[in-house]
Amino acid sequence: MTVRSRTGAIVAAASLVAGTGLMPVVDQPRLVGLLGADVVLGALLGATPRRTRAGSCIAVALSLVGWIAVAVLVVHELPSTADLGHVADAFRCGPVGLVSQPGGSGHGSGAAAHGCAALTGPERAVVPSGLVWLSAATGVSLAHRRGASIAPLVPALSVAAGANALAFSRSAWHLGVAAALIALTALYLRTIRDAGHAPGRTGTTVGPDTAWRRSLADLALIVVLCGAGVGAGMAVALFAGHAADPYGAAAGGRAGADPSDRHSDPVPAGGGAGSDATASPGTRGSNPARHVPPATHAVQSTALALVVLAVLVGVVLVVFLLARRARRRWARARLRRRGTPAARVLAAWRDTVAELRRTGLGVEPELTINELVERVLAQDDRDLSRPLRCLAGAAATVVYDPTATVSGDQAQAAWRERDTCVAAMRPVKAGRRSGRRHGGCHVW
Amino acid sequence: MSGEDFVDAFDRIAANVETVVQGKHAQVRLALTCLLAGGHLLIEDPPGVGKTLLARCLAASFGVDMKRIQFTPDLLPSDITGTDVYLPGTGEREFRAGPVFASVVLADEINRATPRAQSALLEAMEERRVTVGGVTRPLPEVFVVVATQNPVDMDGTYPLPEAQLDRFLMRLRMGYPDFDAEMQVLRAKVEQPPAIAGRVPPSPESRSAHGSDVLPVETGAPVSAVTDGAELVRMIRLARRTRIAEPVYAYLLRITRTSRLLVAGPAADVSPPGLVSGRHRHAGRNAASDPRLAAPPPGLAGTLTLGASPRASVGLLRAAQVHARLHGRDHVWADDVKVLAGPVLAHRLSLTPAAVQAGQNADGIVASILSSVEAPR
Repeated sequence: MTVRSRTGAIVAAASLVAGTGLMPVVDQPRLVGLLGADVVLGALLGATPRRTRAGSCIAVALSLVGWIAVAVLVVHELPSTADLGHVADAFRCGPVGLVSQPGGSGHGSGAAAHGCAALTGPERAVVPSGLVWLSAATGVSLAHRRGASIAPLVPALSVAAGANALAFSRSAWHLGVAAALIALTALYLRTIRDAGHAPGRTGTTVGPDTAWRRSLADLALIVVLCGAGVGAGMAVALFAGHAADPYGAAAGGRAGADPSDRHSDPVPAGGGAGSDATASPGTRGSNPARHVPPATHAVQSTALALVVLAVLVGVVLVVFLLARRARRRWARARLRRRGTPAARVLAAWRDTVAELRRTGLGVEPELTINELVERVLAQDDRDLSRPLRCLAGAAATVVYDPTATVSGDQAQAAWRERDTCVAAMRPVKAGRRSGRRHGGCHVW
Repeated sequence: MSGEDFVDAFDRIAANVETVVQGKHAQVRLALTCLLAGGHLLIEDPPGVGKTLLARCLAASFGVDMKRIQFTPDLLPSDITGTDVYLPGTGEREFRAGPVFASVVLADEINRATPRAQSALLEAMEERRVTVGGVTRPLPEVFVVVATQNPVDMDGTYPLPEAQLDRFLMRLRMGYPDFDAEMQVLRAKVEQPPAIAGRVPPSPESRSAHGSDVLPVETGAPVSAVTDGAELVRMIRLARRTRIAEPVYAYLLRITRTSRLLVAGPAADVSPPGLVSGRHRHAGRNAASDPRLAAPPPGLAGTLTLGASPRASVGLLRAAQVHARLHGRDHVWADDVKVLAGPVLAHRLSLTPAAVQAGQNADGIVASILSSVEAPR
């Protein structure tokens, strides 16, 4: 399967998921439609090629289970009176409509303050589905770039996790399902992204043990990300008043399952139907917000919650990016100085290949050094030709010639060519140093 | 012989052949690579595309002793290997060598002979010796079999057994010439009189039979020897001294061994779990846990009944050495292995009937294997 068809499969899967959320709202025949959608989704996932058999089987199977679980949830808890107007409301109001919902009543005074209709029941599935679609679409770009960072997924996943936590905030079980959904989505997308990219040293292949280690490492990373996402979502819920009844006693599980509640009396944030079941009297009693008009309180809470969510996501993202960059820089400096000259030449080459991969150029593992250079130069018209060919020639000699001898100067020259290559991949910096060096190979 | 001399000699031979076999640059160089690797060459294609012509021109360019065997259904093994002849005058038996005792043996339409006759070449091709009447006789140091076969017209033919196919280092397909090349062929046929048609050095038997130093060839273009046996031996020896690094060894082995992962059933010596059962499961598990092996290409498991043999690995190595020398290198690159994997491995892979019905072919499977094996870099 080509990258294009694989991307198509992901887009189709994501669209189906979004459709799964939308379908009940437009009052389609739910059960049959959802089963059909899941069958198609399963076929698409099954047709996606995997390199690491064990990890991919788990990813595909669990992803499928996750999607089906979401679909069943949506089917199970939807009222039958939803109409298309709810969809428009959901998109118009977005997260505001969600977070302004008291935990079980289905009333949104904060939303009402913004002119939004209260979001209840079915329409609350729209935004989470849309956000899941957003995260999946981000993954599509990652899969297409094949080797890009997972960082762009973090905000989307966090927002999606938070939104899902809100949408299914009626019980811990629902929270768990939301977290699992996001985790499996991320695992699936990461597996797609890593297909064909062995992280190990050149000359080795990904054996089952390596595949398992990679899968476990991915899983650990995703659990951390999901924890952050769900935590952020819960924080939003807390500030918006949902925490008053995270395990609400209202029947049906999903907040506002009964659409007849939509136009009942406004309830102050934190005091929705059944909220008293878990709200601490002390907390309620000491909360000065109780004396604030309900609509104002909800708006302030919503704004604060969104700010907190944004800050949390931003901090996580910045820390992640800085740590990764620092780790790369440290590793590169170490490789540049340590080891034999041949090892340093190889390190320069492999670091260049890693940079090419991060740039999004196709550097599939089955390509030889020569093929890789030709492929890259065919894809990219920047001034990479001379330094890349020089560096590739040096690397080919080191890798393929068992009697090759490399001096320290040649190793340093290889790293200089690596720097030239990396600079050429960055258009602005390359422009600054135009005309700086246009000679022959400095390595050999 | 230096590396430059090797390249010069190679180019000289290739150019000489291409004066007659026009528009087949890649095939000519592949065929030369095969012969300089010390391997036997199987040329397979429909009639009239120049299989025999290429074989004859190659043999003629080498300037070594060449014999041609036209394989027919009534051919006997002794017609190939030779036989002991009783001499009434002396009462002794004298061995009359067959055409296999030549440096270049052109086996034309090899699949038209019976398996019995085909088998006469087995020992000669692998061990470079012939045993007749209990006496084993060595073949010349340079010994290559260039065989042709027609894969289309199968009536009255006997497909080569796997053991025979495995002894051919490469299988080439000529393909139809492009427009310009075919135009040149037509012009050559018209402009060159038959009297000066191609001439090849004859074997001693031919010379005595015809009383002439040269034999006309029906190609319409002259081709003469541009090298000799001694230079050929030097080229072969130089190619075999081409160095190979450990990562390239491993890459080559991963390619050939991955083909064995695709074998369905007990024939697989290495198979992933799930493909085999019972007493074969243990070996399969061991193979699948070998981190040096690549995962088999998705969707291709069980498509083969026979994978690449260790002889195929050796052959691919030899051919890669020649290819490296041809490009002026004294060490093999992974590119050399990759380029030659198709011609060396494809004819050795035996597909299951289900795979054939599904539209799979050996060349496609080799390409899939190459795309699933990580190259050293």
